Amino acid sequence: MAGVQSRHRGWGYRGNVALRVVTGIVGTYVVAALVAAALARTLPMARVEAVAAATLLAFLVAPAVPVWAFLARGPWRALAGVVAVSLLLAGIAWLGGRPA
Amino acid sequence: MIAAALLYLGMFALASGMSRHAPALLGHWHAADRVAQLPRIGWGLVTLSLAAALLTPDWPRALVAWFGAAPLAAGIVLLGLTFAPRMARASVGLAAALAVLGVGLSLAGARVYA
Amino acid sequence: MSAIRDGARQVMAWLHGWTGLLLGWVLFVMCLAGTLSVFKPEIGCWMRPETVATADPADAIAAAGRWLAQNTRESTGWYLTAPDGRMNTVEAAYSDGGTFLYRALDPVTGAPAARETFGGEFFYRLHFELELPFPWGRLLASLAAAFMLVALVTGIIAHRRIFKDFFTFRTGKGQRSWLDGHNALGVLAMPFHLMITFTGLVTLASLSMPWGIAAAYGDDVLAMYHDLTPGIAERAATGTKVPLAPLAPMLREAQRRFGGAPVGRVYVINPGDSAAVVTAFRADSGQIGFTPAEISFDGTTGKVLAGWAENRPGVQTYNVVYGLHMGRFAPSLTRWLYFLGGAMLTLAIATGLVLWVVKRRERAPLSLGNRILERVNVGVLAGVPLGCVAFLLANRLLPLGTLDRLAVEVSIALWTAAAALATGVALPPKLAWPLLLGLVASGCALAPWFAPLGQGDKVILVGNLLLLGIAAGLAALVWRQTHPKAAPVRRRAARATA
Repeated sequence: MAGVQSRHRGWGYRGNVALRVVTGIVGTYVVAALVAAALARTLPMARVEAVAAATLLAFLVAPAVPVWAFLARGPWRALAGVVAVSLLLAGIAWLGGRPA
Repeated sequence: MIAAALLYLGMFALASGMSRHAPALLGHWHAADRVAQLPRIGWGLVTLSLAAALLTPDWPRALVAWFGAAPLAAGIVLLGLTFAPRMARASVGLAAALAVLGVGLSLAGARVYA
Repeated sequence: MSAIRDGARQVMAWLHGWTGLLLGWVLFVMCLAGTLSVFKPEIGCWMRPETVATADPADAIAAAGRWLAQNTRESTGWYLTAPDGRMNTVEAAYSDGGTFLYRALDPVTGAPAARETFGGEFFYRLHFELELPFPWGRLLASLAAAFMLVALVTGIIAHRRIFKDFFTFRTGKGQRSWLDGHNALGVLAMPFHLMITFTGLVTLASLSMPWGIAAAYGDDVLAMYHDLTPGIAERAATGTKVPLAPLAPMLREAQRRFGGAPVGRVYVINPGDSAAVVTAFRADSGQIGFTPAEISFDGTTGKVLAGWAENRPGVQTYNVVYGLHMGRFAPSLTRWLYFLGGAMLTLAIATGLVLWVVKRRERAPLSLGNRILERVNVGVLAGVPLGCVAFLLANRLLPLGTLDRLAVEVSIALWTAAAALATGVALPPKLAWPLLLGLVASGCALAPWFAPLGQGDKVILVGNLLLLGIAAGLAALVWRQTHPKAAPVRRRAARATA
């Protein structure tokens, strides 16, 4: 892209963008899936209601992930944040256990 | 619902009285102190129109219609502002008249049924 | 410091541009098809001008059932939609010896309508399946919707002066004008755009985000569906052939139990089998929530097997979200507002795609990539509408008895769009834009004149007026493109001295 600053064309920049893109795309899906799973197991309501609420909430919070992926101060920080949240959610889902 | 839609038009005409558009829309009414109050009046009218929508018996559908009427009213103001500012100014009077008419009709209707 | 741009707003603007661009063409198709789908029943009426009979919903379904019973073999299910105030035919999706077919059935005779066409259903399916095989079309649509949501959110964050700029639209200023137009279209109807994108994502959630279901139900998806709609009775076919009992009494009973509300959809599972089940759904037009109530009958005896009226808050919330996207609850004015919102979103996407090119061209000569992009833009933004118009013209011009008429109309639409895309890529944009848009305008202007005009049907009249209006608007646009104005500078100077 002509006209963009020269520091936006080096391999460091491309790597930065690439990592954030992967974190953003894969991370959004993983976090959304885990939010849905964790809430479906832990919300205090009938099973099908929990699933409905969990899925709606998953879509609601998901856009925060790509915003974080690109606003975080560095690409590794972005990835770390997403991984941390995912592990936390996975833990909640696992502890929740399958409802009877 | 009619009252809501009408209050709407009136509302947007005035919520538009914001900073850079004031001179075009207000013409000789353009006085600094009045302009500062306009945003508050504008938002007040928006809220009033929302309340009017929620007070109708079929409020869920009225609410959805309110959300739909918003861009329409805003768009009309924007087009008027861009292409025919004098017509936009005149329409404020028309919108206000329709709003009053709408309120009057619904009050009359209520008295008929009461 | 390894941010991609200086400042959070610039990062968001950058992300907004890319998420909008990558699937922008797919989103354009989806939004255009979706906007047209608001009037799916009316388009169906416009495309079947010979079929004017009307009947009570229960009788119409019964007639359809009789025709289907005689004309299908080994069917696993008939999925019927009853006529209502907007559409007089029964829409039937059914399996006949293994293949899935779609027909609109006459409400009195039950036989297929004289003019075989997908009608509005074409735009509806294009909207969420993009004419791709299951599940890839829906997955692509889900992905595009997710990108759209991110584009909306990043657009909002990037637009700090969202209210100060609310009513700004500067014409004739190149990139600034395109930006103002794009912003106005996006910001003015922002609540609609956010709502329709979010609810759209949710409608495909069972395919794209099934993990809540998996976490709570594991492999037992059938249990989830049973919990979701307890009024649907499920049982396997037995293989014993027993004729289906008359449908009309079952539907009248359903209407009685729905408190007088009409029947909307009727699913007949395993018709002709001893374990056939007839499920009637309350019409979706009565309230915002989708699938508010359903009741299942034994197919051979008409005995009630299960019934349910939704009253659980969690499920109702989901139904309302679903219903907001489908928009079937909307009375006439609101329907036009949905259409307006959809049109604004479609134009927002189109102006965004054009803006990408215009902005870069004003900075420096276009790179090869962007030059190709510009040409593909023309091909898609003008070609897809041309395909839609070709669909309507094909409906009017193809002889009624054409073999496989439904598929031929669709093929004509798709091939026209493909040809337009190729034209857009082959010709320089200065030529391609007016040429393709002019063809769309001509098509819209021609379509109204081919049908039996004298039917006097209000829907056909409004449809024709709309087509003529679009033709006029596009013609004006083409005129502007081919006769660029040098006047603005002079006019501004003149006004300044006045």
